[in-house]
Amino acid sequence: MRKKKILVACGTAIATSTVVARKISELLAAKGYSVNIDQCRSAEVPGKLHGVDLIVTTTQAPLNGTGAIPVIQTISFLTGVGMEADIEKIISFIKE
Amino acid sequence: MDIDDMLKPDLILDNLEADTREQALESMARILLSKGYVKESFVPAILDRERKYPSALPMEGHKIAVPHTDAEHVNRSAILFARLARPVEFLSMGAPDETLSVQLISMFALHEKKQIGYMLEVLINAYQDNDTLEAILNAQNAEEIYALLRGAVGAQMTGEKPERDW
Repeated sequence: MRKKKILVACGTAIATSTVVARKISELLAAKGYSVNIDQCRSAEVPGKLHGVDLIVTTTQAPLNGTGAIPVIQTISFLTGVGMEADIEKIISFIKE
Repeated sequence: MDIDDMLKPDLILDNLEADTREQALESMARILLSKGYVKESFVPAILDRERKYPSALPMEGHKIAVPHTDAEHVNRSAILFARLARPVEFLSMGAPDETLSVQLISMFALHEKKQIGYMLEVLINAYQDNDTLEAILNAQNAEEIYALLRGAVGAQMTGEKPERDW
């Protein structure tokens, strides 16, 4: 089975999305899911979509050109509030 | 790069006077500039970034802002932490139409994202603990704030080694 790919987007792609990518990876691993995670700025999303199954973004800025790829907008992985519900949501998109 | 290279006693500001978030951010950015951590361009960049992507996080209890901007404006990585004299209004990262009252600001000057991902995660984990933020808000002075922060980060770091470098 091909590993699913999650693209994590934020404003600068240096701090916020780094933390979110690490959290998602760890929480999914704890539940037995292994995924590929890439991170980028919100503005770079259109050029980073190849092979992407799900986008997680921390900003409210509208993302362009995402087409049929599902997008989850959340800051739960930073605040800790609602994190478990969001992981379940992510799993619902990435499981076969 | 170790946590003690970024989180230092002289990078804790207590009782910082500011009437607006812009004043708080500019004062903090200028302190990083005066200490050589960032370039002159960091100051307008951090203000511009805050306008485009608000940085306040509505944790379970207290709120905290985590302003940061692009690596090109930074010379050396550092975390500048401030407790303001009074809370100021920030906009929420997740909902920019929502105003949050913020008294604690953790400004990240990040030069290289590799190797610091783990430290950022540990810091954010510490900020997610309401007891830690409560203790910081009630601390007597900057030294106590530093001790609380360093202790919270240290407690998170025991045992678990970083497995990835992002």
